[in-house]
Amino acid sequence: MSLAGARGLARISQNPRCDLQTAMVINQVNEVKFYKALTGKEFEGEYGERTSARRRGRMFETNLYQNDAAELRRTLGPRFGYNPEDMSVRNLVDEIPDHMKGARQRRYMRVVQIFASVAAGLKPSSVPHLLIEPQLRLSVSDNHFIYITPDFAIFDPQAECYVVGEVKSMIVRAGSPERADLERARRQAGAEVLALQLLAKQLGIIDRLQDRANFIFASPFGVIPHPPVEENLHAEVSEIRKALESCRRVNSDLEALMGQGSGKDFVTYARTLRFTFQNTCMSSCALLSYCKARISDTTQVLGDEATDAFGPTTELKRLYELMLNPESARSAEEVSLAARLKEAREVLGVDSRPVSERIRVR
Amino acid sequence: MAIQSSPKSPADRNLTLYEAMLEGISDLGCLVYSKELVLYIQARWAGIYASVIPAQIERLMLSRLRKYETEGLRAAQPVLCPALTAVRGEAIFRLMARSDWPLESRLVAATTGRLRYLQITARVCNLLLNEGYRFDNHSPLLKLVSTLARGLPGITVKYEQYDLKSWRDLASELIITISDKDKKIRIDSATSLLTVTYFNEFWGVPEEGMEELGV
Repeated sequence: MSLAGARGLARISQNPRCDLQTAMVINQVNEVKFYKALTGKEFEGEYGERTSARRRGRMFETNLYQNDAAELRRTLGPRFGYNPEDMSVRNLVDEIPDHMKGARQRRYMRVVQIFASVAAGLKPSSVPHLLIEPQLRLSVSDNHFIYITPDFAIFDPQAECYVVGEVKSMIVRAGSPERADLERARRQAGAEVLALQLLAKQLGIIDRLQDRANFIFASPFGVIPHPPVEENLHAEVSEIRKALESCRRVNSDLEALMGQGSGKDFVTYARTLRFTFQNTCMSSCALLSYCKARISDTTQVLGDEATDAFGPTTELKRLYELMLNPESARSAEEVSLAARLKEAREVLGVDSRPVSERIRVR
Repeated sequence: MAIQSSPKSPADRNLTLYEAMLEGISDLGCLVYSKELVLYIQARWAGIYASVIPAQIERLMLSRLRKYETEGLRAAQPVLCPALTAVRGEAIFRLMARSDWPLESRLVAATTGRLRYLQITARVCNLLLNEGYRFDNHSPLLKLVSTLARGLPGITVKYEQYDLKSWRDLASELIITISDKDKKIRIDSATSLLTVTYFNEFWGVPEEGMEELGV
């Protein structure tokens, strides 16, 4: 999964105690190359989206954005009380393509201009109904930003402000996409809402915003969009806010460490950073095997439930000893653990005798 | 659909890419996105420019514009330049115009996006109906027109079925309903923009200028 922009923040929000992942997002590393730099080995696992999924996603977006965003206007316009044929559109990537120098900063300045017009209550000709890929940003420090790019933003005439939106080519059946897919999309959108709030706050129109976003998913019929779905994102915005605080803390620590002029590079410092292994790492992080190898003798390697039950630093060997010999408990905590392990043995019917005693040789 | 091509003249065979871009925009007669212009060029000069891509012509437009600007833009020949937003004169670098068009024809107001789309749809349909002989390879142009037709209200485009006449007629009818209003807005905007201190007629208002303006 990507580390860029809102996706990076979404990943941090799922594991905010992992400073290593946070540092990777802040430094915008290429995960596969970073894995090699960290371990000295080539990354051999699967990484990133399938080519077919990426191609489908591009086709779905192209279909929505072409012809002055005709399909997107038809999908969104009626929900906000617009005649789609009367909607004005600005596509920020068409205005400043990616290959131009400082493209994201320049697009951001144009978005600031548009929002300034909103704040000033200027007439509609200055405020387009629909923005395609408007550039927003969140600050990690005074001169370090994470650029956030919602797929679109539509002007809500009731709220007198823009509402961000995401385009996802995942197919919706029975009114809702797959839960895991929706969770990632919601967190991404949470980052976009937070970035929008930051800009609105700077312009004095924060009271017009709510924690919501619109989603355009695909119907089961080719690249035809499903009617838009609006979601409230209070929890996601809150989690992204915490993720951003993690970014600021880790960035500050790294600047202090690396700014001491030791000449060491980021990879060297990365090896000293705290990491937190959890279930979500298995589907998202290229460093899975690196981190797993470093905690392979603790309960963390068994998953989140085992970590919650037995503590993250409890050694597997010690757990096994307690299970076989509860009297060896050395602390109140171990006494409690031993009791629970004994109960688990009885419930599961675990035979703790050595294999040699269990096998009857004829 | 049978459309005849004619053999290329020697002048056409020696055309540079930049000249092809200028010729293409003139032929299409309106502001043109780089991806649309590429398909026109691929269709018209398939023997020479079959594999040109949008980023290539965008960079070419920028480099030539910078070069002519340093050499003095009062040169006789027109150059390609980006369209500009009507309200603030910001450049739209993927949307191309000719420098010899009046300023108001190079501006994009709130209604211009829609008008431009209808104009290019009508023009491409017309080219295929009446001037197809000028094109080496019609496939890129047919691809363009079927994409454009999908944006027309009430139209369903079926695979490899090109209802060019009705698409052209519908686009032409819709153009009439918005062209006058759009023209007035753009003329007013042009007058207003020419009074802005930092405004450059071809680059628009530079971002540096915006910073100094306290934006």
